[in-house]
Amino acid sequence: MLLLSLAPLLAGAALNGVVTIADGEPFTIIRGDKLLTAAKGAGIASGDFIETQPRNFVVAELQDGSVVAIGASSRVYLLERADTPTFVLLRGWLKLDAHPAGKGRVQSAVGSRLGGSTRQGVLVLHSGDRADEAFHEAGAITLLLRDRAGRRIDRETKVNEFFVGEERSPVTSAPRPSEEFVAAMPVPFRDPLPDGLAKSPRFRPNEPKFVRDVSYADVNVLLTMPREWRGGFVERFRGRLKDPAFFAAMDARLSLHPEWTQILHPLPPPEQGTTPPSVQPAAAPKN
Amino acid sequence: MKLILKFNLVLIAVFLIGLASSYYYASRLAQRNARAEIQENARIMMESALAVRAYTNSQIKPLLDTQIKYKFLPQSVPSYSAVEYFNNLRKSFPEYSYKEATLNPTNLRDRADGWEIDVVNHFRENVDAKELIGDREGATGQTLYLARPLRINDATCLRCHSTVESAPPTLIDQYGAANGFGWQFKEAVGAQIVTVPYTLPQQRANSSLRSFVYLLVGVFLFLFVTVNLLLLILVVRPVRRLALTADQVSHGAMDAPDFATTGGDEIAALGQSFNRMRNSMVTAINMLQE
Ligand code: HEC
Repeated sequence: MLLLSLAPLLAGAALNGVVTIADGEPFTIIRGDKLLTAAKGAGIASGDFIETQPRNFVVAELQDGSVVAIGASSRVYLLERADTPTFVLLRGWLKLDAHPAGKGRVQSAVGSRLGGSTRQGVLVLHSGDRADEAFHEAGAITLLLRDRAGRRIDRETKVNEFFVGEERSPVTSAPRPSEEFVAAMPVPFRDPLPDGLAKSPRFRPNEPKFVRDVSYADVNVLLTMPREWRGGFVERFRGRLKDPAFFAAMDARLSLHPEWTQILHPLPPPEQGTTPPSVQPAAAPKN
Repeated sequence: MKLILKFNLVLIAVFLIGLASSYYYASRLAQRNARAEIQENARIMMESALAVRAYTNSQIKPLLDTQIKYKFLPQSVPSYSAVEYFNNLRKSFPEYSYKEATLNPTNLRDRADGWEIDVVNHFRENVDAKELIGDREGATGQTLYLARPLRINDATCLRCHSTVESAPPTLIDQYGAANGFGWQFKEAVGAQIVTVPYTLPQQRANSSLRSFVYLLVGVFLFLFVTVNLLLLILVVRPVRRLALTADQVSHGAMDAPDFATTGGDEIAALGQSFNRMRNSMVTAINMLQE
């Protein structure tokens, strides 16, 4: 157990923190292949998938001093990466205040169309249905971009710069956030994120509570996000294939995550080449 | 002319001279006090404007620094909070006013006009001038104004007031790009002007002056009546009785009663002398007749 909780600490780019504010109803965390319900005081770590409810506003302080806020109805995946701890915003709002004290490693916050990284800076990211938007509030931020060929063409941004990345069109920038962006943004994002709450004597850890093992619907967004972020999922969710409903739902959408094809329908050994794979699913439920 | 009339004429004359001179000095004093009070009021207003400005700068502005990246909040601007503070104050004291009169303001309600332009120009021409006090005829009567220069002594001011490019974009959204820019370091861009009406303190001074005059007149009337009564009882009536007795004696009525004397004042001494004189005279006449 102790080893387990130390593991992310030892890993180079792990994210690790505690929730210091959780306004509204409890929110959910998918950790491993378990669905948990969490509130103020919950710990969060790399690999967690956080999903907030329509009235949530969640702030977490990370071990390295950074503060991250998540708006309502948002989905955030804490990606463990060798180089940079990364918040993947799949929907909704995220504000990252990286290392306010000025020491630390580069962190990034990315949506599927736009993202930024910073060693010390404040970035607001919104991931909508048709576009991602990013706002450089303070500090120094690098906008993470790729050209059409997929090559990285990152660039430094200026304070107050605002970016919109739409599907299949070049990212546009403006010297200020758009009115719609500001109007839709969670109001508490307008203020500096509160830090130091986790050190307050009144702060009580409050571990997330187990609800159930994940269903396919719970993790569908994770399994179908861009490929580069899906590392480790096969090992992580493989155990759930024992659940026939999970297996069936996964099987029905194999084209969205083809890396599972091999797992659900392993090729038969070469000498038995005549048997069609779909007849004998290796990990098929026993009953 | 009767004695009492002479007395009263002199008394009234002395009183009128006294009243006129004390009225003159008291009213000069009241005027001076009223002016000092008005200046004091103006100073307090000026200092509270500066206090509100400092409070906004040190405590409110830091809280809103992040917010103005999203939407400009004038509440973070010291000038705005001083003006708003006075707008609230004016609900109770409508005759008082405060303005950050500026030649090229960000908010057009701060534009200097008419005589205010002269005040601002005074500070532009006199680099060392710290304060200007003067009187003027306002719509509501005579007022005193107290003005201090608004100089750009801090280069950070120029972030918002020098060029459109350097100002926060949200500021431009709110105020436009047409005015409030191009200010220079060390320039007197405007003046804080407090105006305070004379009417109130003057009314107060006049009413206390009036009370003073009433009091003086009251004291005089009391004195007047008392002096007259005393004159009548102590001097006029005894003298009149003595004159009557002397008259009777002079007409040969030697049996006229003695002049009754009471007390030991000069009139009583006169009466006693008279009685003695009459007695000597009666004795002398009796001796002659024998
Ligand atoms: C963040 C931007 C900002 C900064 C920095 C700033 N101002 Fe202003 N200033 C404003 C705005 C906006 C207004 C208009 C406020 C209002 O609506 O009344 C204003 C108004 C004023 C006015 C009143 C006249 C007018 O333009 O309407 C004066 C005087 C003034 N500022 C002086 C200063 C001085 C002196 C400093 C530096 C100590 C300073 N300002 C710094 C934004 C700024």
